[in-house]
Amino acid sequence: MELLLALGVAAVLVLALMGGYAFLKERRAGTVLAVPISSRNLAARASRSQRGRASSAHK
Amino acid sequence: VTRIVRAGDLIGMPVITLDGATLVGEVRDVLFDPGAARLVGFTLRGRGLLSPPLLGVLPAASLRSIGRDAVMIDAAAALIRDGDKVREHVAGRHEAPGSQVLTEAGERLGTITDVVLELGRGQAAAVVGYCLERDDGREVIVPVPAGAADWQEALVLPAHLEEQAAEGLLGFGALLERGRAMRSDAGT
Repeated sequence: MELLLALGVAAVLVLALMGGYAFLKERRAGTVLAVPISSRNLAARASRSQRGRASSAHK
Repeated sequence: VTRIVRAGDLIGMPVITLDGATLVGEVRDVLFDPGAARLVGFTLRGRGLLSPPLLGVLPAASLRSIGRDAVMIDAAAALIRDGDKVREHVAGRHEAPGSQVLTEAGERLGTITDVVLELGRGQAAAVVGYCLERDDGREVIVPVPAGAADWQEALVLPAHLEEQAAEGLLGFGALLERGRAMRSDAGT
């Protein structure tokens, strides 16, 4: 009985620690992030024009 | 009138609405597009220890002004809170501080510590420079080259930009003005 209780308390503690770590990790200090929007747009445009060429060639 | 700031200095700045003067949150991450050399927006977090760590993304188009003490927006509705849209906005992101900088000749210039923004009136903020920490510990600012490109692990710059490096924001601002004046003289 006591062993079960000890195991339960240990499990709750581990879960609380994991939750606290996840919260603090998410709360990290901010930073400066590079977001490659231009290359994403270029890739999307290239893929659209490739699809367009493929579909007109198919016709 | 324009103002030159380090992007890192905007982190923690309160974001306030013009319609009700309410506090929406504070700047967590500064997002920029290296290919277009433009500010993309901010991610916001709540203020206080137990506040939400991520409220959403605030696109640059919805910013009214970035002042010395606060970021002003029209209304809280400008904040994108939907998880999928937030992920879409920041897809492919990577941290600028810590990235290596090399010249086209393959020589190491240093490590990026911050990004320099030029804030103007009625236009999106432009990325005009990168703060670098040289191997000897000195911090310099180099201008963003014309036709800037995206980069991942390392930023590659033309070798001649090293000669245009300035120390401190004041020196860098003067260097930018000189470069613009020279270009406009050459154009006339």
